[in-house]
Amino acid sequence: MKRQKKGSLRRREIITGYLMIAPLMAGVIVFFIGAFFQNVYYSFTNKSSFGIPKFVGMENYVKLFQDDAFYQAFINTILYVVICVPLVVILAVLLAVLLNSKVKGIGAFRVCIFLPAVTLPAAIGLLWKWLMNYKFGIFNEILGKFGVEPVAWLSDSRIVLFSISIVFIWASVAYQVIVLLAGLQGIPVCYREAAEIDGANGVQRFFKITLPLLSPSIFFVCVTTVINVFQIFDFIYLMIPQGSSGTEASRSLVTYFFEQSFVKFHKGYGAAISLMLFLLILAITAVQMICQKKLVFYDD
Amino acid sequence: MKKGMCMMLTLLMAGSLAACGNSQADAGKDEAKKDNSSEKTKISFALWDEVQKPVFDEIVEKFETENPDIDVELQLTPWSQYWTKLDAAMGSDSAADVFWMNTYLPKYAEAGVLEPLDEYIEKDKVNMDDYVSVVKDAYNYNDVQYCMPKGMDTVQVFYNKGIFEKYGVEEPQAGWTWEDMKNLAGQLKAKIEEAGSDEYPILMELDPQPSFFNFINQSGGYVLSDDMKKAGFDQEGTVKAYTDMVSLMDEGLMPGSEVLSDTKGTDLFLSQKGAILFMGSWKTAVIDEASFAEQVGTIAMPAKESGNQSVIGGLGYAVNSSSKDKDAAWKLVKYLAGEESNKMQAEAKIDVPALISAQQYYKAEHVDVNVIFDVAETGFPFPTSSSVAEWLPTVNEISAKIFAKELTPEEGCKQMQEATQSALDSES
Repeated sequence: MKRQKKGSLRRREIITGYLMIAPLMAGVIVFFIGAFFQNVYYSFTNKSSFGIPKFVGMENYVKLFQDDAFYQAFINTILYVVICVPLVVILAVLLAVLLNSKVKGIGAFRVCIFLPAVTLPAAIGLLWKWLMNYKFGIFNEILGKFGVEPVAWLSDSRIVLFSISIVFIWASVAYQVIVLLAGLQGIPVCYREAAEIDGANGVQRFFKITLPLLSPSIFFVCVTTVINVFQIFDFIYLMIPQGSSGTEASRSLVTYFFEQSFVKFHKGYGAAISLMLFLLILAITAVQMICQKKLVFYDD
Repeated sequence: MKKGMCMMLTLLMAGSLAACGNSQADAGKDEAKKDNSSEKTKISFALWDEVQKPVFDEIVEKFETENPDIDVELQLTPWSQYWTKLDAAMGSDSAADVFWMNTYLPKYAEAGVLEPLDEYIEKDKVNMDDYVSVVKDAYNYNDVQYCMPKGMDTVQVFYNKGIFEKYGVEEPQAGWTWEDMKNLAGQLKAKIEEAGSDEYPILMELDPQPSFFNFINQSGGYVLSDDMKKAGFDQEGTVKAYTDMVSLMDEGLMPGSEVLSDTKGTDLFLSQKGAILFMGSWKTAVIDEASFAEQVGTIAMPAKESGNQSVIGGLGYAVNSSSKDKDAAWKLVKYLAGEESNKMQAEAKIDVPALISAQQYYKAEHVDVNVIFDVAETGFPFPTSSSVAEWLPTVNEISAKIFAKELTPEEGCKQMQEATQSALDSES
């Protein structure tokens, strides 16, 4: 009798729980999961501006693998990842460790480091666009003071990818620092104190204690940064005028997807591009998950 | 803290409830209004420019007073989403009845989503010769008139008299040629260097309409053949146009693309860093508001080998072929393209009317705008075809590479020819 009552209570709890998340789930199903499968379908059609899309089988994918612009965008995206991910992670760890120290006014430093994370990407893009302006930008002004020739940050096709990377790193370090700082503060002080008594110096303590215990946070930072860099778009769109000489050299997979889908209206082809990007991110994240078992230390 | 949060949440919820209440009340009012005049026809009108919208609000209001049986709903969609939204709405039969159209016309005309206007024009005896012929023809596709002309854009030269005076160089004279321009610019360059100053003799925006599409035509080349079937980037004149522009940069008469791609030519001119500026009429108001506007002279472009004709752009009003009430839609289009509407737009300086009789109302405070009307007489329409969205971005990109000297004009033109021709060939 008593047991039965408990069971029905539990069932009621479950139902209430599902009711609570139902509105959110509905949104996720319609706008994410549903849209995802619709996108998969479109990638096999010739969907364009209007008219009913026609099923064309693998045509989009065949075209994709013969498309030089796609390969260029693919290589650019890999380059963005190779440049940005290590730098974001290393800088974020260094800054987090520095911000974890007990210095007077550390709060002010933390605020300064975190500011880019609460700034709109559009504002960041416009600001850096001015800093990097060929004729009036402060970067070239400073270079000029040292007698260096001005650099065409945003229009020289050999430079643009690095310019965008700089801005991306600057903007994304902020959020990751906070994640790592939280991780650092979760490390019990006793370990470090014990090591200190045993005579370990600062460098040893960092590599033997802080880093292993921080590795779950670092792993999280790695995974999210990789995904973010693969989807790099906003700074490219904001800082490199479309159709300028830096367009091709800065074009990422998402930029290419955008151009095909919403500038040239090849929506089926765009869907195929975005699906390739999805598979790429899926594969890389899977590899990361496997490596995690070997490299990440959980202090349970 | 917690208490504060609770308070805020409560307030928010109360606020949203109140908002709900309001909108319901409004809806009720609207319905009541509708009931009063149950025969009112509702049509929608889509546009993308928020600067022009206030003027169109007034125009539509006037139209509604004159046509009390028609209710017009203005739909503003920003340019970045306008075409995506229009296409999607066409697919679901919910697109506006009347909407702005531009060089994408062939794509929409081919798709059969635009109502041919010839019958309406004939029925109401609208005289199409009242409009600037280039703009009228731009909206005539395969001998069918698909839009009524709205305004027009021309390209001409603006020059800073102050700079010419400062360096003692003679101002451009009507009937000047490309060589005359290079000569004047050369003199300016020498004097500027002598004075250790940093103005540029010639400025332009490196986009197709305000620069290279003009020069291609003026050098005897073409972008598209008249039947829109052949690309003209393999023409000698087309290559020459690019070569001449690059040589302006090489000779230091015009800043290189690294400067012009980061800072618009017009912005350099506005900060008095340039003497001669090639600019579209759509930016006249900006120049007219400059502190040195009285010092700005206007003149038609210098003549190249085949003349000094300007690209002419301009918008049109189209009617949706699946509109539920085409007669009401046509009435609105006729009004929008009529004298009163054009007068209001011209006086607000938002557009140069394509309706010739209304051009007199377009005036700038300091800048002489008559050159715009003169230039319009010899102009040619912006080259377009149903695959324009396909080839134009590629042409822009390769042109930028030519100006950045990553490609020679010959190499660039060869690539543009291939890309454009293959886009044209894929048009059914």
